[in-house]
Amino acid sequence: MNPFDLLPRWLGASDDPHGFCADTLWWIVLFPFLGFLFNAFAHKKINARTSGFIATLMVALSFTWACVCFAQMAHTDDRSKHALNLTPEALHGDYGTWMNLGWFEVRFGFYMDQLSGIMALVVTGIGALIHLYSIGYMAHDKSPGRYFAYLNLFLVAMLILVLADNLVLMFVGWEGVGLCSYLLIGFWYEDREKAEAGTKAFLFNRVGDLGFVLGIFTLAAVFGTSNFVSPAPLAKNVAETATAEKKVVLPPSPGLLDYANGLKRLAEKRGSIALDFKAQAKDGNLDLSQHVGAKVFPGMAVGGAILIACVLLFIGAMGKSAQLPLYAWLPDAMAGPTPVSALIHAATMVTAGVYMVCRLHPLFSFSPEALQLVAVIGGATAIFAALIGLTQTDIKKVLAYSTVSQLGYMFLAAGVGSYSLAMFHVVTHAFFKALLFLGAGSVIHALSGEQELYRMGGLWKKLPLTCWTFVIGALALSGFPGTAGWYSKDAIMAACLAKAETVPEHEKTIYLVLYALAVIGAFCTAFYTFRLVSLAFFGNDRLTPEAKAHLHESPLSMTLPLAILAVLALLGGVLFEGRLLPFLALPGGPENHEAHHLNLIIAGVAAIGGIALAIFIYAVKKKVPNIEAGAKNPLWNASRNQFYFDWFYMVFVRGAYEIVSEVLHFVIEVLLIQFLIVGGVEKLTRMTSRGLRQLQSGLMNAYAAGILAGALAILWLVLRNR
Amino acid sequence: MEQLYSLAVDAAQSSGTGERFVQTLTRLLSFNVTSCLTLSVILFAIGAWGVLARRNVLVMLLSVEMMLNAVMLAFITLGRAHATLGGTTGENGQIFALFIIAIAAAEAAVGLAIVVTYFRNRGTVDTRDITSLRN
Amino acid sequence: MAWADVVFLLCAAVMVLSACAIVTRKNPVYSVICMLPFMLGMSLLFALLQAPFLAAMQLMVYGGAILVVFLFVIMLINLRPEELKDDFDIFGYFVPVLGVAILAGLVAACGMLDTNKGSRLDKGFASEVDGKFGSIADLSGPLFKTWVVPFELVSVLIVVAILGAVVLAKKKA
Repeated sequence: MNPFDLLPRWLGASDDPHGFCADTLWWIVLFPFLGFLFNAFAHKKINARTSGFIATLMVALSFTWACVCFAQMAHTDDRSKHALNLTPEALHGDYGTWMNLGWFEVRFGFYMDQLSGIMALVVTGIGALIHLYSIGYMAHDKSPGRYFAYLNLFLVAMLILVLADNLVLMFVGWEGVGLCSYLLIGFWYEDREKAEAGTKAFLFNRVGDLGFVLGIFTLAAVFGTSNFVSPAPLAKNVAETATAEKKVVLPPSPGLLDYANGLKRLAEKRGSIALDFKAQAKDGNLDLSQHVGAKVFPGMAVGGAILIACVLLFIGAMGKSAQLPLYAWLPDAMAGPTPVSALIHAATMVTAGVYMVCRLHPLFSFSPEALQLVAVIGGATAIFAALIGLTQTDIKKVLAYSTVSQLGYMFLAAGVGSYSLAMFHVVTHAFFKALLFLGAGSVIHALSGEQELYRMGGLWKKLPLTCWTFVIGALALSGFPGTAGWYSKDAIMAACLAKAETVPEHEKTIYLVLYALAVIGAFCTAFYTFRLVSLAFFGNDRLTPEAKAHLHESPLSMTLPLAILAVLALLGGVLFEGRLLPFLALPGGPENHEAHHLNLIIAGVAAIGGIALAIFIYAVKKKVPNIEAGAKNPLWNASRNQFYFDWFYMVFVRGAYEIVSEVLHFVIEVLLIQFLIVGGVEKLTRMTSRGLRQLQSGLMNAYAAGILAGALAILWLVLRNR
Repeated sequence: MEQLYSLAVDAAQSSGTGERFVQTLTRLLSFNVTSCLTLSVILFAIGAWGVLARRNVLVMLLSVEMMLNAVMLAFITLGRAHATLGGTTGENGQIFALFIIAIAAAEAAVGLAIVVTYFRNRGTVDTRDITSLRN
Repeated sequence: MAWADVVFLLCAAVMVLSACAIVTRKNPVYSVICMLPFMLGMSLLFALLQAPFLAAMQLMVYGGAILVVFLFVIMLINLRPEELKDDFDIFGYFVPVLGVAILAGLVAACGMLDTNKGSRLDKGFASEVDGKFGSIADLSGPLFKTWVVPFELVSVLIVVAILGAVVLAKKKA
């Protein structure tokens, strides 16, 4: 039975459910937008429960429709992998032209294929759970309506990002999530520090956005389009004939991915080709010599241009997903409400960078240097953040650094070519990191705002549900065998090792080093995670009296999402791994390899060892982190202060900015404007008026002379051409 | 006049600019459109000078009347110049001159009334002392 | 015709001389008296230009009415001799130069008028007109047909001027 038969006939749904879903993809974005409008305009008049309920309802509706469209897309799945790696069953809705420059056109369009479908489900699903959680968490806040409005707006922007079918529309969503991140981090803006944290996040994002935009421009210049795929339906027989001859045929009005795949195939067929534009022959071969790119980059190979574009786009991903040089905003972003941290900075926004890289994977695959950069930065970030997390004592900061670290793992996976593993880790990380953040929020809520670990302890008796779901999440994060996290993180490390074995000799060391760093990072991750768990829930009771007085388990609206996420974190790997990875149809799944077995052992040892060590130190021996003692140790200090990265930014970058702004202030404001322009205008006006005042002499004769002069002037004007 | 002119030319034996000057002068001294218009212009200029240079308001008004008269002369001259047998273009100049007379009379009346009132209030008709509009 | 030139020259001389006299007399009564030959000369010129009605009108209205009104007002103002100070101020030095300059320019412009043989303006006074040209009968045609509206408006204007003058000059009783 076709479920679309339930809809009215005039919608035309049951005749062509596929096309109907494609045309109505935008409903997924519509519902949160309506929620945003409702809360934005009515937030002063309704109470917290209503605004939260409406917001959650809207997200739930969005999730429902995303499921419907996903089902529609998925059930016509045809698993044959054909040459150009596009899926004929993807839903592609076209909603009109945005701007048309002749050679470059941007359309409004939403595209749901497996990749964006999974992301959309994760975003809306976890978003719904977090909205539900927020109802309880923000119940006593003074402006919950504003909160829910921002949260819905964030979902709108994130869904636009995920579902966009071209880079420019994706950038709209990209910027939108940056904006909502700023709004939500600085939600309690009366506290100056929190507002500044929001600004910091936005500025770091902005730096990345610059790279992203330049990447878009480069790609537009080279290929003349920013669409991912061709809007025209693909003809299958075209692909088949292409394999026979030495030609590569592109669909009409090809998108970036079509180009990238086509270039790759051409490279495979002809061996290595010098890809300057002159080398292309016409007659159906991939010929870019007529393109804009040939004029913009004369003499530069296409490969070089794509490399530049990929690096620039990755800079954007670095800003958005908090990779190494641009990560400093994420720990400060913990100033926002905890559900915000859970949604934005664990599950969705920060994974936008990974999503973008996976979406453009043919382009990235085409330039191996860019991929290496991605892998190196990812690996470096992973270990860097893990080392910092060892010495933090704020419960949310530990989780923040762990997020940065896990994002590093995702980029590491993408960098070694395993995009499907990167996306798998995105999904599982969304589950357990959201769980951990929500659990932390539950603890903070129970302790009336306490966030420092050395004032917690022994909570497992009073907050059982929170505690055991938190432990499940921690196990998943540490990569304990059997949990979802183990499936994904383990596979990433295996892929890294496998890549190390398949590359030529001179490149081996990089990947081996990355593998080693990844393993150390996994050990550290397990260690600090269970350090967190032990200090917060087990061990001695170190609570302050006020916190102890109000200690209570969280309401159902908060514990229900915790439970659901715990189930997903625990069983997600088992349930999804077998189905998800082939379904995603991205390159690089887990291979059954000797490397895999070797890695199994190493990673397992690292994880369990870290867990055991942490439990031993902090739960059994009940050691408490001592800040004064640690400060004497330079390594500990360096780790605690993020290896002085933040200090570097504050002093040098911000200092330089302040100096420049002081200079400019002096030059422009004081000198130019006050003195020259304002003072000068004043003097000029005085002089002019003094001069002009002479005209008003009151003498009739003078006035008459003026009249005469004017009349003569007119006469001259009239007669001078005769 | 033309006979005198030819005489002068023969006598002077001049050429070029001198000849043109003599020609213009001859034209100006006989009775034709050019000379009438020139006369009108001269009278207008004298009247303008009178308006600008005299301090007595009454004399200024009188100079204005003179300017109007000069303009009337110009109108009538040109009207006559355009006159043809049986047409009515020539009369237009004279009709307009008639209107000018009427308007000048009205303006003179009102202007003089203003002068009288002003004199009654301020006791002077010297423009140098009429400075209440100063600055 | 030669006598026309002579009459014209005579009139012109009279008018220019009396004009100069008008603008240079200190005593305003003298100025008004000098206006008389001016008007006479103008009237003669009109007659020469075949505008007899207008010549008569000029004498009656200007000479008979306007100059008389001027004289009345001058009598009213009643300036005593010591109040007739030196009339020329700074404008007296700057403006004559200006005036002469204007004059010279305009005369030059007139001299360059297109009056060579054969142009319309040259033929101007030589064109034949019948004896009725410029008479009352001739003028009244266009006046009451084509130009009747301005005619009526001018009569309204005169009424307004009369009323205005009366109102302005009334003594505040």
